[in-house]
Amino acid sequence: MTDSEIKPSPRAAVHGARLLAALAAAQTAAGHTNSEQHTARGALDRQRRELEFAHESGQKLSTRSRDVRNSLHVLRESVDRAKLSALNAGLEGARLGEPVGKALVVMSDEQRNLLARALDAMDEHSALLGEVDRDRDRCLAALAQMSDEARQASLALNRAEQQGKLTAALLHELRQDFAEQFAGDAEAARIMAETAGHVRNAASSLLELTQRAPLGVEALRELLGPLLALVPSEDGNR
Amino acid sequence: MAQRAGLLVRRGGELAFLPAHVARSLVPLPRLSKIPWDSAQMTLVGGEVLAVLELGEPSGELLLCEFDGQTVALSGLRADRVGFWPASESGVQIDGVSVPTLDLNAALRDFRSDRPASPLGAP
Repeated sequence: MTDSEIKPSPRAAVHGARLLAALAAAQTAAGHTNSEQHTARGALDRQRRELEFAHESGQKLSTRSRDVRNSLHVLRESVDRAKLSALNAGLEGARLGEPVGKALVVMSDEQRNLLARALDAMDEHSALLGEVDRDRDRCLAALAQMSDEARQASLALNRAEQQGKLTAALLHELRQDFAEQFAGDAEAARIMAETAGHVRNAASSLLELTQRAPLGVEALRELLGPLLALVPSEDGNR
Repeated sequence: MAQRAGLLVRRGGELAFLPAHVARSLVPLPRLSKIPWDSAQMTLVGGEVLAVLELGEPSGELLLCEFDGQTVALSGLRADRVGFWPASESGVQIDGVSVPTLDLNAALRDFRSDRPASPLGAP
Protein backbone atom coordinates (compact mmCIF):
# COMPACT_ATOMS: atom_id res chain seq x y z
CA MET A 1 0.00 0.00 0.00
CA THR A 2 1.45 3.42 -1.07
CA ASP A 3 1.39 6.64 0.96
CA SER A 4 -1.20 8.24 -1.36
CA GLU A 5 -3.59 5.32 -0.73
CA ILE A 6 -3.20 5.57 3.04
CA LYS A 7 -3.40 9.33 3.51
CA PRO A 8 -6.58 11.22 2.61
CA SER A 9 -6.47 13.91 -0.06
CA PRO A 10 -6.15 17.54 1.17
CA ARG A 11 -9.70 18.27 -0.10
CA ALA A 12 -11.15 15.31 1.81
CA ALA A 13 -9.20 16.47 4.84
CA VAL A 14 -10.78 19.93 4.64
CA HIS A 15 -14.26 18.37 4.24
CA GLY A 16 -13.57 16.07 7.12
CA ALA A 17 -12.51 18.96 9.34
CA ARG A 18 -15.68 20.86 8.41
CA LEU A 19 -17.79 17.83 9.17
CA LEU A 20 -16.14 17.45 12.54
CA ALA A 21 -16.98 21.07 13.33
CA ALA A 22 -20.56 20.58 12.07
CA LEU A 23 -20.93 17.48 14.20
CA ALA A 24 -19.76 19.38 17.25
CA ALA A 25 -22.26 22.17 16.52
CA ALA A 26 -25.07 19.66 15.96
CA GLN A 27 -24.25 17.97 19.26
CA THR A 28 -24.39 21.32 21.08
CA ALA A 29 -27.70 22.17 19.36
CA ALA A 30 -29.15 18.80 20.36
CA GLY A 31 -28.10 19.50 23.95
CA HIS A 32 -29.86 22.88 23.87
CA THR A 33 -32.90 21.22 22.34
CA ASN A 34 -33.03 18.75 25.20
CA SER A 35 -32.73 21.52 27.74
CA GLU A 36 -35.54 23.57 26.13
CA GLN A 37 -37.78 20.52 25.88
CA HIS A 38 -37.15 19.75 29.53
CA THR A 39 -38.10 23.33 30.49
CA ALA A 40 -41.23 23.23 28.31
CA ARG A 41 -42.30 19.91 29.79
CA GLY A 42 -41.82 21.25 33.32
CA ALA A 43 -43.97 24.30 32.51
CA LEU A 44 -46.61 22.10 30.93
CA ASP A 45 -46.67 19.80 33.96
CA ARG A 46 -47.13 22.81 36.26
CA GLN A 47 -49.98 24.05 34.08
CA ARG A 48 -51.58 20.62 34.16
CA ARG A 49 -51.42 20.59 37.97
CA GLU A 50 -52.98 24.07 38.06
CA LEU A 51 -55.71 22.86 35.73
CA GLU A 52 -56.42 19.90 37.97
CA PHE A 53 -56.57 22.20 40.98
CA ALA A 54 -58.98 24.49 39.11
CA HIS A 55 -61.08 21.43 38.26
CA GLU A 56 -61.19 20.40 41.92
CA SER A 57 -62.21 23.93 42.90
CA GLY A 58 -64.99 23.75 40.34
CA GLN A 59 -66.23 20.51 41.85
CA LYS A 60 -66.20 22.09 45.31
CA LEU A 61 -68.35 24.85 43.83
CA SER A 62 -70.88 22.15 42.87
CA THR A 63 -71.13 21.03 46.50
CA ARG A 64 -71.48 24.61 47.74
CA SER A 65 -74.12 25.29 45.13
CA ARG A 66 -76.09 22.27 46.37
CA ASP A 67 -75.82 23.61 49.95
CA VAL A 68 -77.10 27.01 48.83
CA ARG A 69 -79.98 25.32 47.01
CA ASN A 70 -80.91 23.31 50.13
CA SER A 71 -80.78 26.44 52.25
CA LEU A 72 -83.00 28.26 49.72
CA HIS A 73 -85.46 25.37 49.93
CA VAL A 74 -85.65 25.67 53.73
CA LEU A 75 -86.06 29.44 53.40
CA ARG A 76 -88.89 28.99 50.90
CA GLU A 77 -90.70 26.56 53.21
CA SER A 78 -90.37 29.03 56.09
CA VAL A 79 -91.69 31.91 54.01
CA ASP A 80 -94.59 29.76 52.78
CA ARG A 81 -95.49 28.95 56.38
CA ALA A 82 -95.14 32.59 57.42
CA LYS A 83 -97.51 33.49 54.58
CA LEU A 84 -100.08 30.99 55.89
CA SER A 85 -99.67 32.43 59.41
CA ALA A 86 -100.26 35.94 58.08
CA LEU A 87 -103.41 34.75 56.28
CA ASN A 88 -104.62 32.96 59.43
CA ALA A 89 -104.13 36.16 61.44
CA GLY A 90 -106.11 37.98 58.76
CA LEU A 91 -108.91 35.38 58.99
CA GLU A 92 -109.10 35.96 62.76
CA GLY A 93 -109.38 39.68 62.08
CA ALA A 94 -112.05 39.08 59.44
CA ARG A 95 -114.07 37.00 61.92
CA LEU A 96 -113.82 39.78 64.50
CA GLY A 97 -115.35 42.08 61.88
CA GLU A 98 -115.05 45.83 61.38
CA PRO A 99 -113.77 47.97 62.96
CA VAL A 100 -112.05 45.72 65.56
CA GLY A 101 -110.55 43.23 63.16
CA LYS A 102 -109.72 45.68 60.40
CA ALA A 103 -106.24 46.50 61.76
CA LEU A 104 -105.42 42.81 61.92
CA VAL A 105 -106.57 42.27 58.35
CA VAL A 106 -104.54 45.26 57.11
CA MET A 107 -101.43 44.05 58.96
CA SER A 108 -101.94 40.56 57.57
CA ASP A 109 -102.22 41.92 54.03
CA GLU A 110 -99.04 43.98 54.43
CA GLN A 111 -97.23 40.92 55.78
CA ARG A 112 -98.50 38.83 52.89
CA ASN A 113 -97.23 41.41 50.36
CA LEU A 114 -93.77 41.46 51.92
CA LEU A 115 -93.60 37.67 51.96
CA ALA A 116 -94.73 37.53 48.33
CA ARG A 117 -91.81 39.82 47.44
CA ALA A 118 -89.45 37.56 49.38
CA LEU A 119 -90.77 34.56 47.43
CA ASP A 120 -90.22 36.40 44.13
CA ALA A 121 -86.64 37.21 45.18
CA MET A 122 -86.06 33.56 46.07
CA ASP A 123 -87.38 32.48 42.67
CA GLU A 124 -84.92 34.91 41.09
CA HIS A 125 -82.09 33.50 43.23
CA SER A 126 -83.01 29.97 42.17
CA ALA A 127 -82.94 30.97 38.50
CA LEU A 128 -79.56 32.71 38.94
CA LEU A 129 -78.21 29.68 40.75
CA GLY A 130 -79.33 27.52 37.83
CA GLU A 131 -77.41 29.77 35.42
CA VAL A 132 -74.31 29.65 37.64
CA ASP A 133 -74.58 25.84 37.70
CA ARG A 134 -74.77 25.67 33.92
CA ASP A 135 -71.75 28.03 33.50
CA ARG A 136 -69.79 26.03 36.09
CA ASP A 137 -70.55 22.75 34.29
CA ARG A 138 -69.37 24.20 30.97
CA CYS A 139 -66.22 25.53 32.68
CA LEU A 140 -65.53 22.14 34.30
CA ALA A 141 -65.92 20.33 30.99
CA ALA A 142 -63.50 22.76 29.28
CA LEU A 143 -61.01 22.40 32.14
CA ALA A 144 -61.15 18.61 31.96
CA GLN A 145 -60.55 18.70 28.21
CA MET A 146 -57.64 21.12 28.56
CA SER A 147 -56.11 19.08 31.34
CA ASP A 148 -56.24 16.03 29.10
CA GLU A 149 -54.68 17.95 26.20
CA ALA A 150 -51.92 19.29 28.47
CA ARG A 151 -51.20 15.72 29.59
CA GLN A 152 -50.96 14.58 25.96
CA ALA A 153 -48.63 17.49 25.11
CA SER A 154 -46.48 16.72 28.14
CA LEU A 155 -46.18 13.08 27.06
CA ALA A 156 -45.24 14.12 23.51
CA LEU A 157 -42.57 16.49 24.86
CA ASN A 158 -41.27 13.72 27.06
CA ARG A 159 -40.90 11.42 24.07
CA ALA A 160 -39.20 14.21 22.06
CA GLU A 161 -36.82 14.80 24.97
CA GLN A 162 -35.85 11.12 25.02
CA GLN A 163 -35.28 11.17 21.27
CA GLY A 164 -33.20 14.33 21.62
CA LYS A 165 -30.99 12.72 24.25
CA LEU A 166 -30.51 9.71 22.02
CA THR A 167 -29.61 11.94 19.09
CA ALA A 168 -27.05 13.86 21.16
CA ALA A 169 -25.47 10.60 22.31
CA LEU A 170 -25.33 9.27 18.74
CA LEU A 171 -23.78 12.51 17.53
CA HIS A 172 -21.14 12.25 20.21
CA GLU A 173 -20.27 8.69 19.23
CA LEU A 174 -20.29 9.56 15.56
CA ARG A 175 -17.95 12.44 16.11
CA GLN A 176 -15.52 10.26 18.00
CA ASP A 177 -15.65 7.47 15.43
CA PHE A 178 -15.27 9.94 12.62
CA ALA A 179 -12.27 11.59 14.22
CA GLU A 180 -10.60 8.20 14.66
CA GLN A 181 -11.39 6.97 11.16
CA PHE A 182 -10.77 10.16 9.25
CA ALA A 183 -6.98 10.23 9.28
CA GLY A 184 -6.45 6.83 7.62
CA ASP A 185 -9.40 6.25 5.27
CA ALA A 186 -10.67 8.80 2.70
CA GLU A 187 -13.59 6.63 1.59
CA ALA A 188 -14.70 6.14 5.21
CA ALA A 189 -14.46 9.90 5.66
CA ARG A 190 -16.82 10.40 2.72
CA ILE A 191 -19.35 7.88 4.05
CA MET A 192 -19.13 9.36 7.53
CA ALA A 193 -19.65 12.81 6.10
CA GLU A 194 -22.84 11.68 4.38
CA THR A 195 -24.05 10.04 7.58
CA ALA A 196 -23.26 13.17 9.52
CA GLY A 197 -25.37 15.12 7.03
CA HIS A 198 -28.37 12.88 7.75
CA VAL A 199 -27.87 13.28 11.48
CA ARG A 200 -27.67 17.03 11.09
CA ASN A 201 -31.01 17.00 9.26
CA ALA A 202 -32.50 15.00 12.12
CA ALA A 203 -31.10 17.51 14.63
CA SER A 204 -32.62 20.40 12.63
CA SER A 205 -36.02 18.71 12.72
CA LEU A 206 -35.74 18.27 16.46
CA LEU A 207 -34.78 21.90 16.88
CA GLU A 208 -37.83 22.94 14.85
CA LEU A 209 -40.04 20.76 17.04
CA THR A 210 -38.61 22.40 20.14
CA GLN A 211 -39.26 25.86 18.72
CA ARG A 212 -42.87 24.91 18.11
CA ALA A 213 -43.48 23.41 21.54
CA PRO A 214 -43.19 26.69 23.51
CA LEU A 215 -45.57 28.33 21.01
CA GLY A 216 -48.13 25.61 21.77
CA VAL A 217 -47.62 26.10 25.50
CA GLU A 218 -48.04 29.86 25.09
CA ALA A 219 -51.24 29.38 23.09
CA LEU A 220 -52.59 27.03 25.79
CA ARG A 221 -51.75 29.57 28.49
CA GLU A 222 -53.65 32.32 26.62
CA LEU A 223 -56.63 30.00 26.29
CA LEU A 224 -56.55 29.00 29.95
CA GLY A 225 -56.12 32.49 31.44
CA PRO A 226 -59.80 33.59 31.23
CA LEU A 227 -61.06 30.15 32.29
CA LEU A 228 -58.84 29.99 35.36
CA ALA A 229 -60.03 33.48 36.31
CA LEU A 230 -63.60 32.11 36.46
CA VAL A 231 -62.78 29.55 39.11
CA PRO A 232 -61.98 30.76 42.64
CA SER A 233 -58.84 29.49 44.35
CA GLU A 234 -58.73 27.55 47.63
CA ASP A 235 -58.74 30.75 49.75
CA GLY A 236 -61.76 32.16 47.87
CA ASN A 237 -59.79 34.64 45.74
CA ARG A 238 -59.99 34.61 41.95
CA MET B 1 -123.28 48.58 50.55
CA ALA B 2 -122.75 45.82 53.13
CA GLN B 3 -119.22 44.53 53.60
CA ARG B 4 -118.39 40.86 53.65
CA ALA B 5 -115.30 39.56 55.42
CA GLY B 6 -113.56 36.52 54.12
CA LEU B 7 -110.81 34.79 52.20
CA LEU B 8 -110.07 34.92 48.48
CA VAL B 9 -108.77 31.67 47.02
CA ARG B 10 -107.63 30.60 43.58
CA ARG B 11 -109.09 27.42 42.18
CA GLY B 12 -107.21 26.74 38.97
CA GLY B 13 -106.99 30.24 37.51
CA GLU B 14 -110.28 31.48 38.95
CA LEU B 15 -110.80 33.54 42.09
CA ALA B 16 -113.45 32.46 44.58
CA PHE B 17 -114.63 33.90 47.89
CA LEU B 18 -115.10 32.07 51.18
CA PRO B 19 -116.83 33.89 54.06
CA ALA B 20 -114.77 34.30 57.26
CA HIS B 21 -117.27 32.22 59.25
CA VAL B 22 -116.68 29.28 56.86
CA ALA B 23 -112.92 29.53 56.27
CA ARG B 24 -111.31 28.69 59.60
CA SER B 25 -107.59 28.35 59.00
CA LEU B 26 -104.83 27.37 56.60
CA VAL B 27 -102.21 24.67 57.22
CA PRO B 28 -99.30 23.29 55.16
CA LEU B 29 -100.52 20.28 53.21
CA PRO B 30 -100.21 17.25 55.52
CA ARG B 31 -100.08 13.64 54.40
CA LEU B 32 -103.39 12.57 52.86
CA SER B 33 -104.65 8.98 53.13
CA LYS B 34 -107.00 7.33 50.71
CA ILE B 35 -109.77 5.23 52.17
CA PRO B 36 -109.73 1.66 50.81
CA TRP B 37 -112.49 0.94 48.22
CA ASP B 38 -113.39 4.62 48.15
CA SER B 39 -112.23 7.78 46.37
CA ALA B 40 -112.42 9.80 49.60
CA GLN B 41 -109.29 11.04 51.36
CA MET B 42 -108.67 11.64 55.04
CA THR B 43 -106.05 13.49 56.97
CA LEU B 44 -105.03 14.19 60.53
CA VAL B 45 -104.83 17.85 61.59
CA GLY B 46 -104.36 18.86 65.22
CA GLY B 47 -105.35 15.41 66.44
CA GLU B 48 -108.61 15.46 64.49
CA VAL B 49 -109.37 13.16 61.53
CA LEU B 50 -110.86 15.20 58.67
CA ALA B 51 -112.44 14.39 55.31
CA VAL B 52 -110.57 16.04 52.44
CA LEU B 53 -112.42 17.46 49.41
CA GLU B 54 -110.07 17.60 46.45
CA LEU B 55 -110.96 20.69 44.42
CA GLY B 56 -107.88 20.89 42.20
CA GLU B 57 -104.20 20.10 41.76
CA PRO B 58 -102.24 19.96 45.06
CA SER B 59 -101.15 23.48 46.06
CA GLY B 60 -99.11 22.72 49.18
CA GLU B 61 -101.75 24.06 51.54
CA LEU B 62 -104.98 22.81 53.08
CA LEU B 63 -107.92 25.04 53.94
CA LEU B 64 -109.98 24.00 56.97
CA CYS B 65 -113.62 25.05 56.78
CA GLU B 66 -116.59 24.89 59.11
CA PHE B 67 -119.52 23.51 57.19
CA ASP B 68 -122.82 22.23 58.58
CA GLY B 69 -121.24 21.97 62.01
CA GLN B 70 -118.44 19.79 60.63
CA THR B 71 -114.84 20.66 59.92
CA VAL B 72 -113.93 19.83 56.33
CA ALA B 73 -110.53 20.15 54.68
CA LEU B 74 -110.25 21.54 51.13
CA SER B 75 -107.22 20.76 49.00
CA GLY B 76 -106.27 22.14 45.58
CA LEU B 77 -106.95 25.77 46.54
CA ARG B 78 -104.37 28.53 46.85
CA ALA B 79 -105.14 31.25 49.43
CA ASP B 80 -104.76 34.70 47.91
CA ARG B 81 -105.70 37.31 50.54
CA VAL B 82 -108.06 38.19 53.38
CA GLY B 83 -110.16 41.32 53.57
CA PHE B 84 -113.47 43.14 53.69
CA TRP B 85 -115.18 43.68 50.35
CA PRO B 86 -118.59 45.01 49.24
CA ALA B 87 -121.14 42.22 48.95
CA SER B 88 -122.49 41.31 45.52
CA GLU B 89 -125.33 39.04 44.46
CA SER B 90 -123.11 35.99 44.05
CA GLY B 91 -120.24 36.87 46.37
CA VAL B 92 -118.17 40.06 46.65
CA GLN B 93 -117.11 42.95 44.40
CA ILE B 94 -113.35 43.44 44.09
CA ASP B 95 -112.19 46.39 41.98
CA GLY B 96 -115.48 46.33 40.11
CA VAL B 97 -115.28 42.62 39.37
CA SER B 98 -117.71 40.18 40.93
CA VAL B 99 -116.03 37.24 42.61
CA PRO B 100 -118.43 34.35 43.33
CA THR B 101 -118.63 32.51 46.64
CA LEU B 102 -117.14 29.03 46.50
CA ASP B 103 -120.08 26.65 46.38
CA LEU B 104 -119.24 24.16 49.09
CA ASN B 105 -122.65 22.47 48.78
CA ALA B 106 -121.92 21.64 45.15
CA ALA B 107 -118.39 20.49 46.03
CA LEU B 108 -119.77 18.21 48.70
CA ARG B 109 -122.42 16.85 46.31
CA ASP B 110 -119.73 16.11 43.70
CA PHE B 111 -117.63 14.48 46.37
CA ARG B 112 -120.49 12.20 47.41
CA SER B 113 -121.59 11.34 43.87
CA ASP B 114 -117.98 10.50 42.85
CA ARG B 115 -117.86 7.73 45.39
CA PRO B 116 -117.84 4.41 43.53
CA ALA B 117 -120.15 1.51 44.35
CA SER B 118 -118.55 -0.99 46.70
CA PRO B 119 -116.51 -3.45 44.62
CA LEU B 120 -116.60 -7.19 45.16
CA GLY B 121 -114.74 -8.18 48.26
CA ALA B 122 -115.28 -4.87 50.00
CA PRO B 123 -116.54 -5.25 53.53
